[in-house]
Amino acid sequence: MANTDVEVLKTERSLYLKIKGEWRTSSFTLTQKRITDVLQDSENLLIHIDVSELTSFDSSAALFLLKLKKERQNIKLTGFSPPLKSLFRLVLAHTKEKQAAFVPHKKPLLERLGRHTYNKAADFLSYTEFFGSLVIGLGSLFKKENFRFSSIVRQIELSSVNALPIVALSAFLIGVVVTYQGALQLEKFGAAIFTVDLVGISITRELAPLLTAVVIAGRSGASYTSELGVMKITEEIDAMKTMGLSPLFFLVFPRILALTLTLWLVILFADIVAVMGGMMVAKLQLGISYTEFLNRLQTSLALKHILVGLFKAPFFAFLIASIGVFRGLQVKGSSESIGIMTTHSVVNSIFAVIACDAVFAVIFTGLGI
Amino acid sequence: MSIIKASNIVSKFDERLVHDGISFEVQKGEIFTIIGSSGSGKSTLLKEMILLQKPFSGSIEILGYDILRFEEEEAKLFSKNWGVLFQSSALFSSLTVAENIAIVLKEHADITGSFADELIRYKLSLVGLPPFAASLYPSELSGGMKKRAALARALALEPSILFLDEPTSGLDPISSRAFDTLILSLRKALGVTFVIVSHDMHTVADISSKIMALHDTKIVFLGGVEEAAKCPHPFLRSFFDTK
Repeated sequence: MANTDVEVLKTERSLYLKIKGEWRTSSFTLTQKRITDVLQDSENLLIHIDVSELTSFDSSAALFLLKLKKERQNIKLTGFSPPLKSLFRLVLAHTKEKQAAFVPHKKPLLERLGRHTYNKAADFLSYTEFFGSLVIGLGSLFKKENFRFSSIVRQIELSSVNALPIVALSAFLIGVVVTYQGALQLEKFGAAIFTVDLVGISITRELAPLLTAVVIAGRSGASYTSELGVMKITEEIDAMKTMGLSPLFFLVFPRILALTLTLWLVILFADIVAVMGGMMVAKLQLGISYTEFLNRLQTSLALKHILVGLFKAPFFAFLIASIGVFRGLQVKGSSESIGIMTTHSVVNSIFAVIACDAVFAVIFTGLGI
Repeated sequence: MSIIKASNIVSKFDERLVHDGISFEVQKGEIFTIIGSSGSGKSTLLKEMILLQKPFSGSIEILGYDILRFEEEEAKLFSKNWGVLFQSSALFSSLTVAENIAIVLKEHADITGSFADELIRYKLSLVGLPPFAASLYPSELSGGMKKRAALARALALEPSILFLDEPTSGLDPISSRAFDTLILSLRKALGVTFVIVSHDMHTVADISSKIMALHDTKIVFLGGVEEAAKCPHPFLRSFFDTK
């Protein structure tokens, strides 16, 4: 659709440009280049730009010509039709004040580093504040009007029960992998049967709780954040507050309680499925029969290992759920913020779970459990 | 000269008839407002004119082209001829106001750098936004400013037709009237043709040069504001008598 034409006539002392046809924003750049090219090395010439044969034009053209005229003294514009003249006047009126260029968004490295660090610290502080409000809320949670039994049950279904298939699949595969790797190494020492000890203890004590927590953080924790984030943006949470309903008891506690109360069951389920995966590989790879495997498991796997694994569950669950909810409530303004906060939520809660696990490892070792 | 010519448009949602063979023409430089009760297919008609929806049958000619026959590539090219202001503004929330306009200039006209900045500044001034608005994100703007920013984006390529879907919805009366004035001044300054869907009675009465009323799948009125105010049809009566 670009059909601007520039006619050039050059004499010794002057340059005559005639712009013809249609010159609009969508075909602007080509003609702009053409004119700038022609005008190179013409400082000493008298330049006439004739616009009388422009049939169609818009503000970009006008703005460009005006700028050109302002920058160079030796340019004369001629042949204005009345509409072109009024457009020039309009452009002139709206570009009067000289303004600085747009502020670049990229700030210097040191400033960004500082802001980032500050924001992280502020985030942590507001999380502790949120934690405080939970503790205070706990005081009145068990009053009849505050305890939302049905929402808790609903959240248990959504965040724990519905997560069972993916947890089962992941746990099964972890069981398979650990057994397989363990068997390969232990077989070399003729200690194949110790694979059972390895699988039993590592899975129930560490791997299953950690794996389940990571899966739940990516699944249920993220969904808490995005659910609450959307409610924040659509002002549902504000609406709730104005109606005298406390978001803390309606939205926050049901989610946190649901996960805290049930994660240990999900982990127990993961323990069982992972050990089953191990049993299968032990039979195929090492020829250890199911009976043999279970017998060995019974003597080698002390109950304390399972209990240690399950004991950690409520702590993991609390971290995942509270971070998920906290990040959801931090959503502000645009829909983009939901995405950012969901990412933060998953990253933070997985890190928190691993850190918490490390702390427990130190404590339990110190206690000799 | 007629800019838009729609003939015998029939639209259906599943089995429900929305438009039953409606025809109209929009002339150059007009402010053509479409009114109608909710569910009368105003927005559907608007979407059909900008190729977001296809009518069941009928033809729509814009600037002499039969837009319903366009291939995808042609439609993309042709879309430079119109700008659209959506009801919810639809500014890209991850970009600043300036970037919202810059992206159009860059993608469609290959205008970048300091000239683009200048052009953007001019467009913002044209729609009455203060310079500092350029580096704000849509979530940091008020409703009226969002509409203005979205209008500046629609104006980026200076199309000859602007489609506005409920331009004053969600604005307070003062901002609404200011927006009406802005529309009038843009028509005067740039010679743009406006097609507006609205149920803001003040907007319709103050700025339209032609009104089309849709009711029950048909056009029940097509003409100037004066006649519309006198038209005995019950829908127009209830529309204007609320004044």
